Amino acid sequence: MAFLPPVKIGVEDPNTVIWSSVDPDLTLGTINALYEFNNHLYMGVTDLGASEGTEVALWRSKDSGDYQLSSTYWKSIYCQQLNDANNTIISCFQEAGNKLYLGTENSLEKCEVWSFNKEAAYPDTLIKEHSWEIGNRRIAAMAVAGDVLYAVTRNDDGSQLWYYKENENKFLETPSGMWQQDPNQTNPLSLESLGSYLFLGFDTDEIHRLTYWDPNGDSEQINALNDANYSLYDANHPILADDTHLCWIYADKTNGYLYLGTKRTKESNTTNTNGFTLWKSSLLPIITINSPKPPLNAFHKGNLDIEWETTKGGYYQINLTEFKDPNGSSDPNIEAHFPHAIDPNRNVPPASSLNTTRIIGPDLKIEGNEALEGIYTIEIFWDLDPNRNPITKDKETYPVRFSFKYDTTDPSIPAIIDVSPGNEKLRIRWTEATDILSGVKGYYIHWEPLEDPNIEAFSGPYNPVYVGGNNYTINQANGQQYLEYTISQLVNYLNYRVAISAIDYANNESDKSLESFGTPEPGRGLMDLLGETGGCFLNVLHHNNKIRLYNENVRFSL
Amino acid sequence: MRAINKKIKISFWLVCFLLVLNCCFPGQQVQAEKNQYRAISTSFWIGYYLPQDSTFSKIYPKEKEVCGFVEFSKIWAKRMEITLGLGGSYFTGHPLNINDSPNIDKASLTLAPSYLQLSYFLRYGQEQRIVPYLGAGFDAWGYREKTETDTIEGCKYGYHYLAGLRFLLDWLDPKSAAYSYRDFGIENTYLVLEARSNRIDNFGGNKLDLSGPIYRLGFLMEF
Repeated sequence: MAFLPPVKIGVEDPNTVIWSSVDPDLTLGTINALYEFNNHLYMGVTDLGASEGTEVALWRSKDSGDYQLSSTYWKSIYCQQLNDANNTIISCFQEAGNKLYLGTENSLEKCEVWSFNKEAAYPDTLIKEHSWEIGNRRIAAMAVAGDVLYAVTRNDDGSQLWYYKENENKFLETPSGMWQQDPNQTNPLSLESLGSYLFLGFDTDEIHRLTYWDPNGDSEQINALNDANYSLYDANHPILADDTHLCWIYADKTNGYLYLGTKRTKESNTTNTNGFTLWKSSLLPIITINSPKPPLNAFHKGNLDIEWETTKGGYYQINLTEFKDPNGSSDPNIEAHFPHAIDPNRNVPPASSLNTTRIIGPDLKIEGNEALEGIYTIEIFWDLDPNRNPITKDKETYPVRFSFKYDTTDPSIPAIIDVSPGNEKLRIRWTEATDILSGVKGYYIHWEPLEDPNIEAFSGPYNPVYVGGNNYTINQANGQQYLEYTISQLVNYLNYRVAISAIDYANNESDKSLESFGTPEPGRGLMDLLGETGGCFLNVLHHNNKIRLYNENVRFSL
Repeated sequence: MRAINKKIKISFWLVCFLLVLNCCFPGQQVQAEKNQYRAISTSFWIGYYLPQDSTFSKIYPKEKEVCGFVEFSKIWAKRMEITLGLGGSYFTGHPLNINDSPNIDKASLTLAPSYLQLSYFLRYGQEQRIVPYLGAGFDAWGYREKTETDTIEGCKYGYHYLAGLRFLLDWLDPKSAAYSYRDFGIENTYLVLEARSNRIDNFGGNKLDLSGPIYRLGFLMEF
């Protein structure tokens, strides 16, 4: 295993002097999970002495990365939703995308995952992402690998790995199958990712290393998920004594180290009893892809420029593992589409010589005219021994696999259906554009006042409005689907010229649609149309009465 | 053959007439505790209002809109009732552009009718199961129209006339009826169907005309 030989760096016992506790005034109950997210430290706390039985609480530090051990520095977040759903423990946290996910244990013998958004000023509204069936007792841990969120559950009869299906908003089973519970009551404890690997640790001596698995990929990759099962007693890597159990796995992804926390469970002649030990791996080659970055993950017209970096010097291979044309058909003649893919001697100098922990890998540039439009899957991995011929991947090469789309085709041109006026606004309806490869990301609405018809269209200072994501509505009328957006803050009774263009995820923009015209104006209501100005007999009485009382007031000082 | 058909028709209408007669004048039901004449009644209504102004339907294009009413009535003479009614209805739509096409802004119209009404009941017995009635009254309808640029409110006056049927419900469940009387003082409960024609145009004025029929269903309790 690549993180061996380990370096013992930590404490034998948490009671030794290098640890300090938080102010004892902060009465928390049991702390089950701790996580840093968006410059706050979060604690999942179970309050056993709550008035309504066991209650779960979420604590958050104040706005600072410099965490203080003071009770005034922490604030309890009201999370009634979790308690209403019978959750008793926040067992783990995991950041993914711009959300923080909370894994829970439930008094109904099932578990749930909740989340809140980074943009939320205060996480007072939690969203339930998934609720498992009874028998899946606890979310033991979560981790992100290859932009996929994974969760491992502790079940009645073992443990299981799940992945979050983004577009379905739910967790699905991975093909890893069930890790059956052994007689010693093996429980999953930790899940961590390094590169494209997932490390799953149990409370015994087991660590499973799981290789890259693409939930959206081909089914033959699925079998590769459960790649290796390592024992901490491995004779070749005697990291731990046989009375030691794993407590925690932590991956330092910036610097490329893996840490293990272990605990001795039996008295030993050579070591302290019941002690805790922190272990650090040797430097690991952890590769990060800087370009293309998800969720865009697409290149547009021009050169393909793959940028990556690593934590360890050495020799790296970059391989094209799969190519699909825009229609999704695989092409076995891979090399013809990726002439620079095979390069066995991409030498990266060691980090120490560059006085940094991150090393920028040599860019992989491919001229636009050499590359074909399609979906590329590329793998970069560290090679232990460059003199081996042929070079083969093994368990210690830490490969990173990623896919991107090379899209050179513009989306179809949308067509404006209708421009309708409102008070200082125009509502534009248009047909949906299509883009086969990377998909339509959004639309530009080009607009300008039609002050001088001799000026070239859309050459003035008016920036087009970008509409994408959720800021336009999709409607259906007469069997036709159309999109709708309203431009506001316009000038009433001034004629405007409008056109639409579509943009895809590779940033290819279509030509503009045919121009349409509209004039904002306030609508005329029923009263306005009929010349009705309001008021009534009672109103007149009311006003007269007011005037009379006012006069009386003056006269009699009432 | 034609003579037989005629006989069948006559028999059919005779049976119908007897059935209606039976409904209207049931057998003697002694309810000693009940008063001979009801004093007051309260009713709750729901119905459809169909404004007839063609401009109205251009802005508020729904053909009919639900309206609700509450009424308080007092027996005036043996067969007369005086009623105070209050109601409400809410319309949403889009105002019109200069060229009469619909604008994308929103418009809403709230109507709050109130009226004073006199009704004559064809009541011949104390426990008559079906009570037809006719009535007429004066109306004052408050209105409030809100568009993005303007809010106009006011009141229109007019009159209405109506015809309706009250269906006595007590005989369906005499035990519950007795309990309602004992516990809440409710002497009779009726299901009421009514059609009324409204003329709400300030007695022939131009501009806003809220005239139109209302068809409604009510639940009435006599105390």
